[in-house]
Amino acid sequence: MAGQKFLVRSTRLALVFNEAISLAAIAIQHHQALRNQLLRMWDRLTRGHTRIVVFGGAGAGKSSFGQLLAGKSLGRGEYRESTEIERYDIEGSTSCTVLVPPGQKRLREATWSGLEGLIASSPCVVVHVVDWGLDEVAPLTYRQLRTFAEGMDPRAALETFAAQQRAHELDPLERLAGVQPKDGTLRLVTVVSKQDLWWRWRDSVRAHYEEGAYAERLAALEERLGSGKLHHTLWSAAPIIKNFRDGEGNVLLPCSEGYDEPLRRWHEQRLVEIVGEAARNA
Amino acid sequence: MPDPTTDPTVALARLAPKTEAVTRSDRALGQMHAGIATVLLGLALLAVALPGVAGWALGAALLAGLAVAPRYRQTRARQQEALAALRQDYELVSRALDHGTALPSSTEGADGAALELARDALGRSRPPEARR
Repeated sequence: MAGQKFLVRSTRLALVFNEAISLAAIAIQHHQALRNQLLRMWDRLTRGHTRIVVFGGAGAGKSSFGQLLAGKSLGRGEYRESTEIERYDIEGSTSCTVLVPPGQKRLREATWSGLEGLIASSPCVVVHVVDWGLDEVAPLTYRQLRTFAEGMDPRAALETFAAQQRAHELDPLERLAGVQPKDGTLRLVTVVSKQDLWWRWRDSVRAHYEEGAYAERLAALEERLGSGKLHHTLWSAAPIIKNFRDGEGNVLLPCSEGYDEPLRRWHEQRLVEIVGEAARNA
Repeated sequence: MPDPTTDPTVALARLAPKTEAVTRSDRALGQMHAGIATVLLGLALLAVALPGVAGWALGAALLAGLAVAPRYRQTRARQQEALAALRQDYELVSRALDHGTALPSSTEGADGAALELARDALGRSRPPEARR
């Protein structure tokens, strides 16, 4: 009888021990994820949740940027039009969410205004995605573009289109001028995407965003916010390398010669660091 | 992809019927989900109430699952097809509104309503974790 009791107890003990070992093994196996979860919880409790709000025109690459930050695969870079605000949770120790509203003009009032309210009431980093006016045009053909005129070749049609789109890139800055950030400081990161396409003109691109109309608009924004209240960083990247095609598959602009994967990856890595740093300081 | 067009005005005109097709396929899939959930719940309750027939209940659930699987796959494929067709036209219209010549820069009335309904239908199809 005593032997039987001992056997039952030993078996139970062995089962409990086995369970404990399994749990410990799982904890070791997923320690990084567990550690990140705990750090996120601690971060959220002590500093609150940070949001990265991404603005920009339709087809500028906002969703790709959101997916990049969230560590998601970008696939082959097929364009998919956003229909509502996209949300990406960033993996890692910081409690942070990326919010990407659609860039189409007719949806801006409905989706952007709520996010502007968020900037005014909670810690946020604003990311403005621009692309030297090279917004996606597919599924339209170059002949269907508003800027197309009879006799234009595909390249000329694209250049006229891009020039017009560059002017529209200032619109989100105009809107931000009407927003008062929570602690008075606006943390803004401008990302010039599609680096692979405009790399051949990089001096002009840099001049446009650092000295041209864009820089003037930023200066006006800082003047409104107060000196030192605009923390702005300009960076560029290309989430994916691909030729610029229209809906018929015509290559309107090929990738720049000399732009390669190591260059792309370096810029991408630094971009993630810049945005992460801004989120930690928000 | 069935019946493609490169003309935004054609795409705009057929947004409403394509949205209707998506709504119908959503409804069909929803009914199947509800039916499956009801059967599973019924069998689970039966197994709890009468433990002696739990094995039979499990067997019946497996058989029902095998019987309904082809129809479920077909309904789901139809829904995906309807969504892809709608998305194709919606993207063409949306892009044309922003950058094209074929449509005015804003749509009003029936066209505007059709566009909004199409957007809602596409939004519903997104995974829950991506919605907000």
